[in-house]
Amino acid sequence: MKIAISVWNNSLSNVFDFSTNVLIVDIEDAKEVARSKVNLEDTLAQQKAKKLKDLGVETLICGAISREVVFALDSVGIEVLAYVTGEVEEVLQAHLNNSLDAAKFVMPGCWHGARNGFGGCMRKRRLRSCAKEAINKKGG
Amino acid sequence: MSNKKDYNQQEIILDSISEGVFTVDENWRITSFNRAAHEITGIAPSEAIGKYCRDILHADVCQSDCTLQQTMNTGKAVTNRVVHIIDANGNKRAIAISTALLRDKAGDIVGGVETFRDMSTIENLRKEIMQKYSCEDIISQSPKMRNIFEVLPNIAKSNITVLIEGPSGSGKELFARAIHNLSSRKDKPFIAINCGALPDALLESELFGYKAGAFTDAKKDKLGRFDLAQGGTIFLDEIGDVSPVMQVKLLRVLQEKTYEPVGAVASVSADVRVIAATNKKLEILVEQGKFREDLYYRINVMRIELPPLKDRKEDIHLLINHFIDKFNRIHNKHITGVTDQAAAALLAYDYPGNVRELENILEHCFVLCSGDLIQVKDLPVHLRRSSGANQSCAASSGVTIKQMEIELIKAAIDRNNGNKTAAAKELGIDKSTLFRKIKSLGI
Repeated sequence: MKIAISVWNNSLSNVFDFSTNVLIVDIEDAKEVARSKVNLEDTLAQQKAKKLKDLGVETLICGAISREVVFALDSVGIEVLAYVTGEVEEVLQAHLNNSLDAAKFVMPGCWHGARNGFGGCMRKRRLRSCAKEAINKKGG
Repeated sequence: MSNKKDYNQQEIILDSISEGVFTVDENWRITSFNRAAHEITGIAPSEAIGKYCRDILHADVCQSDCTLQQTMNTGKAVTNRVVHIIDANGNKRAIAISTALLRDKAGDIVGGVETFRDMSTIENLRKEIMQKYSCEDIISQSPKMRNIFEVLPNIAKSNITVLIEGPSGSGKELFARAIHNLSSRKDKPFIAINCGALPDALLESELFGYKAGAFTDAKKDKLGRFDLAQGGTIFLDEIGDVSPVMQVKLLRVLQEKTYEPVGAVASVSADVRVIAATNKKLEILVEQGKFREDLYYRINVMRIELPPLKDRKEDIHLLINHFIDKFNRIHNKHITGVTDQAAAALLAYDYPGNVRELENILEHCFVLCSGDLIQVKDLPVHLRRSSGANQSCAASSGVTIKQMEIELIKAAIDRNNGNKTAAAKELGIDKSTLFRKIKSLGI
């Protein structure tokens, strides 16, 4: 499968909406087999989503993201693992090891539904984290 | 002791101001984050402190053109630079930022301070006044609309004539403006005219202008809409209501790219892109002989068909949130949402007036609503009636309690963007109960 990581230099880009560079990684049996850097150029949500789809991307790992862009990616069937922060190589390894839910990779400020792409125990943890944030926000 | 007192006072002062303020150390890690910063970003100080500022502010300039970094590098303060952020509701919003250096008693740089204020109200008002709408301003997650968004940029770039079909209030002009603003003509005028609102003689002089002396009271030349739209786009709304005579004249503009102002002897060339719209099915009008076939094929180069709101009910919650946000700003209120009963009534309604009608309904609710949530009693009478009818129907037949349950669960899940845990919490039931109900009710 192919994943895309929204990058800026050696780190994850802080906001996918405002970034154009992605690292496309081909993964087989939980191992990286190929990688390439792509400039998405387009700034419109639908065009970005379409380009990723055309590149064969199934999952996007990124930082903050707007609802509009999530809807666009969702409409072309791309899974979104959002509100992730850290160095690109570390994030990629964490994804391959299924440990992207570690606290060090969690970017604050997620909105409800932004992390729905996380699956299994990771998803549960993310949802718990989101629910906790919501309670804190209501309380504050 | 004195230092602690100073620190507390400093915190109280920072929290009392309406501008967001945060400070960073030399490594770009946040060292303080005030109340207004929490309100604007939606991120609590406890979450923000110690994190990199780029991971908290989520701004467009953080990586490419960081204002705070500019200040740190040059020593010069920056004031009121407008940037965009993604807030904790997943919305893009404009803020104006100012930055300055922080120095210790010896004058050495120990970090920076960034202050910011919410500019979204001003930006939204400016957008409404300037009518500079783009795809981002059309709120929809419906697959039908998403398909349109996907092709819209290509349509915009192509410069071809576009026909937009859709019922009243479905956003035809919004789409026309989005096409114009995405096209190479975006810096030239966008001129809209409702062809159905004017009688023939008036429509002709409005569209093509007239020369002095063309008719009584035509004392000097008047520019027509095609003149005003030179280099830009003309939006011909309600094209299906144009008379056969005017249809011939419009056909000539589209074919020859020239027209003659009323009373003129020479033709004027028109470098104008035409976007036409109608709430009627032009194809049927052609079959009935009410619309010229040749004109139909001239304007139907690219057709966009906008669905009525009742066919994209998945957008109702998004639109409700959007209009609540808009009216909160206009009416200076702090309404947070709608009750489940009001949401069920809003979802059950068919909206013959489409998005415009939903907007008007919510504005009506804003006038009447005195609490935090819009309730059924705040809805217009016809919606209250239909919601009341559903309730009495539920009571009499005994089966629509199930239907209401389905509606309420669907609405809660929609409101929480598919997050069932949050939906269960909102409904006041356990998550496992919600999953059991989803299964048993076949949702």
